[in-house]
Amino acid sequence: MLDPIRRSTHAAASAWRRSRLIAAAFRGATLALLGIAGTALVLEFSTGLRLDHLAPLASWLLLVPLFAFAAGRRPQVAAAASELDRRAGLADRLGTALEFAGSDHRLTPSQAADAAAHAPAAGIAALFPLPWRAGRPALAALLLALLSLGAGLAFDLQPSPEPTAAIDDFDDALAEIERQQERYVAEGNKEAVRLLSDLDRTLRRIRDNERKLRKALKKKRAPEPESADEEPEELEPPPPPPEQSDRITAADLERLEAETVQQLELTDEQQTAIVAELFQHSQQAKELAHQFHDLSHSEYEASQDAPNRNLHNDSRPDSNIANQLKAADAFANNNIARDQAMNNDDAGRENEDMIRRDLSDESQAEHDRSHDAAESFNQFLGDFVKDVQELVAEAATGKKKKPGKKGKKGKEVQVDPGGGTADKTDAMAETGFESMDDVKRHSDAAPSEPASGKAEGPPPEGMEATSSSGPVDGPAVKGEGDGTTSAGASGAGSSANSEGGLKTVLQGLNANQEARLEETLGQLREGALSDEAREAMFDRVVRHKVQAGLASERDDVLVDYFADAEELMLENAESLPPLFRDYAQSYFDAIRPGGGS
Amino acid sequence: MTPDEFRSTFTRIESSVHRVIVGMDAVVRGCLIGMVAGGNVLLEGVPGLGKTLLVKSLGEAFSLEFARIQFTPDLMPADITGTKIVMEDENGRKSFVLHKGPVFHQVVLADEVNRATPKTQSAMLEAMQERQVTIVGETYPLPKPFFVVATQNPLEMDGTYPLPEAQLDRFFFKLLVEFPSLPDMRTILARTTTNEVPAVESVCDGPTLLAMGRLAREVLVKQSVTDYAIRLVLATHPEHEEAAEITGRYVRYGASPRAAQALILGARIRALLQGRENASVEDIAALAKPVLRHRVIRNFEGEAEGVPADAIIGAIVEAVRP
Repeated sequence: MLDPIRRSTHAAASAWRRSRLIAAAFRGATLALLGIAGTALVLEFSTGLRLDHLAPLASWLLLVPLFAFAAGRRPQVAAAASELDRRAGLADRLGTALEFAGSDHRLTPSQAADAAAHAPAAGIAALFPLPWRAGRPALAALLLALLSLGAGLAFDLQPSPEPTAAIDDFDDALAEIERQQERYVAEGNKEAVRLLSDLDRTLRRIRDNERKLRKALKKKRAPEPESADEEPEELEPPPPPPEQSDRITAADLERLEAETVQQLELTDEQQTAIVAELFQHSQQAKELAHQFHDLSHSEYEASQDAPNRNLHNDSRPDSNIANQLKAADAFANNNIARDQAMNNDDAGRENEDMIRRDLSDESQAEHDRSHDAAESFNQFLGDFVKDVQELVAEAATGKKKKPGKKGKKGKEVQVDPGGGTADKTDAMAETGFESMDDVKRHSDAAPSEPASGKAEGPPPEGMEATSSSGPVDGPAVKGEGDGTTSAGASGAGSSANSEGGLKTVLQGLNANQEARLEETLGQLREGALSDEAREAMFDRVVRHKVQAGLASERDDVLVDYFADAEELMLENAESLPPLFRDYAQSYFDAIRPGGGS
Repeated sequence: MTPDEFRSTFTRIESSVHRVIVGMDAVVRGCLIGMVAGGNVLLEGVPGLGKTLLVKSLGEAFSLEFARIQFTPDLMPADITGTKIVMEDENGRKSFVLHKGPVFHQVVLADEVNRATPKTQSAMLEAMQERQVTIVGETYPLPKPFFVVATQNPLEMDGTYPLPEAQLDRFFFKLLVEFPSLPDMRTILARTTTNEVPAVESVCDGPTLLAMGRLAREVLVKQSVTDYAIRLVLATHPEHEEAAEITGRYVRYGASPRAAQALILGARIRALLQGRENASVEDIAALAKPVLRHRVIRNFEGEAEGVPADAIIGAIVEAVRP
């Protein structure tokens, strides 16, 4: 008798469970989607919503099976019977029949029969319809979640940091760089110092650009001047927007950013062309250096055959001269071989994309590689200058450096003013250069003043007085050439009358010159040369250019190269990457007389 | 008696009463349920609506003795219960002889019960609850079945004595007698203004009524239905955790356990009338107002705002889910 009741009840239990499960899933989905939407908004306004946030956000969906599991348990029979009674309008017939089943109550059979007669055999599922209406909140939550995710991924709703905070960050970074620079200077790590200098300039430029951009944005937000004590505008105002509006739109920000980035970028073709042109100049400079060496060599040989050789009343045999020449040749050949090797190395890199300057953080590694390429170029320039100095120093072998000369770190550009004039000689004398006549006079006076170690005459203006540590007593001599730069006649002290003594003198002087040149060139490359010393050094070069006539024209390669390179840079200043432009400008500033470090 | 016989008998009684009483279906059925359950009924309505006629008709339908007591302020308890008087027999011997009052009838109509003093009203308590009266120290059982129907006028409150809560609780139902509708009025006029006077046909007797009561008490009530009745009663108590929100606002004191008894017993009878042998929560909910309306004591705020007891009970029924 109770079978129809139990069947109906079981069917009702299944249908009810299914309905509850779906309703619970909808509730879980609603909560999960609301959680996703809320979390997405929080992420967007805190750190910015990214695609990799989607996976953690999806973990909210675990609420759906959780809710379904919690509500998906099969209901008890009594509860299902009561629910079926309620939905079917059976007035607790089924529940009462099941509860009193087995009871010996007088009305139990009749009540059970009545309940069985009223128990629904079909259509139970219709009494427990699927709660699609409960899906409406879930649908609304889904829409909200999609909007939140879409807005978060499509637009950058993250508030921009305070400008002062950003500038403070820059200042902190610059201070840290400065501290690191001091440490590396103390350690003597010049490469690290140079890299930090580059980074410092780059950061300063980025900071300046940011400030300019913020000022432009601020000006755009508030067209009228906010305060009278505001700093004058440094940047030209951004172009007026096509439509007048007091609000800054995302398009305005993107346009300003694009303009800024455009100023910071240079195409590969532009970079390649500029670098190729620079290298072309360097090749010409090297070629001229070789010619300079050859001419110096021939000048030296010619000077050996000159009749005034007897004026020195030199007791040195020809073999000493020959040894001196051989030493000079060997020294020069070593330099040439090194230059050729470096030149080949540089030429091999010429076809590569040697210098790429990218300001973005992601291409820092590429920046470093490009920087190394530029470093090889700078090394070449430094070596070139060094070669010139070494050749001249070699030509001046045996000449004692004039003591008391100013410019403790200044290098000596020694030239042969063969075709020079009297005014040239005077000018050189003012700056510490000595003419061959001086050499002759010192040579003549050498026997009476042996190994004094002191140079005669006051130190040139702008140069510090230094003392030579070499074992020579002759003054540092600037050779004179006749149309070409060449080694001047070497002066020799009285202690260098023998071949062995001269050789010792040569070696000592070479070592001394090399050390000093190396130090000076290193400072020059790093821009660490003091303004005073650098100015004095280049004054000497410029004076030589004016006064040395044809002989100095070969030396002018260095000056011309600097001028050409700077001119090239200025011509392409607009298209050059700011990083490269700053780097080159700092380089030229460092080596230009009177330039800032 | 079987359920079917119960229904047929009940239906015949209703039909017989309705030969005289026009309309008032809910009142008639409520009175019949109360009689079957062995309870007492309080009728509230303005004068002239046929309350006395209804009670008299019910007594005639059951072939029960009927007595009417008009409660007045000078009514004494002995006027209701009766008293012992000195009687002299044929031999000249004098003795106390019980002079039974109207309460010794099977159907007693206490008309305008709130006009008597509380002392007199309390004379009905023992009769209504214990079905006995005590006269001069001697207890006398009342006839079975015993049924008290009291009436009161809700308008004329001057010179009245509201029934105490203890006496109110002894009424199984409190039924509201509404003013008859237009069709009912036409019928009333047609029946009472002619020479034909309708008469109530006696369709059953006292033992049948008692048998109906016994059958009603055998109706099945599952535990959840009983729990629902209990929670409904508890919800009328403002201090109880089951109390509804409206209870805490307008109710001073809730219903007694007698209310739960009345709910279950009335639900059983109603289930039989509905053709079922089991009571349901629908039966409980349907009888909530007549059972609880006189047992829920409103507080000052409820009385001041004129919140009817039925509105409070309706809200409680809505708040308590089965």
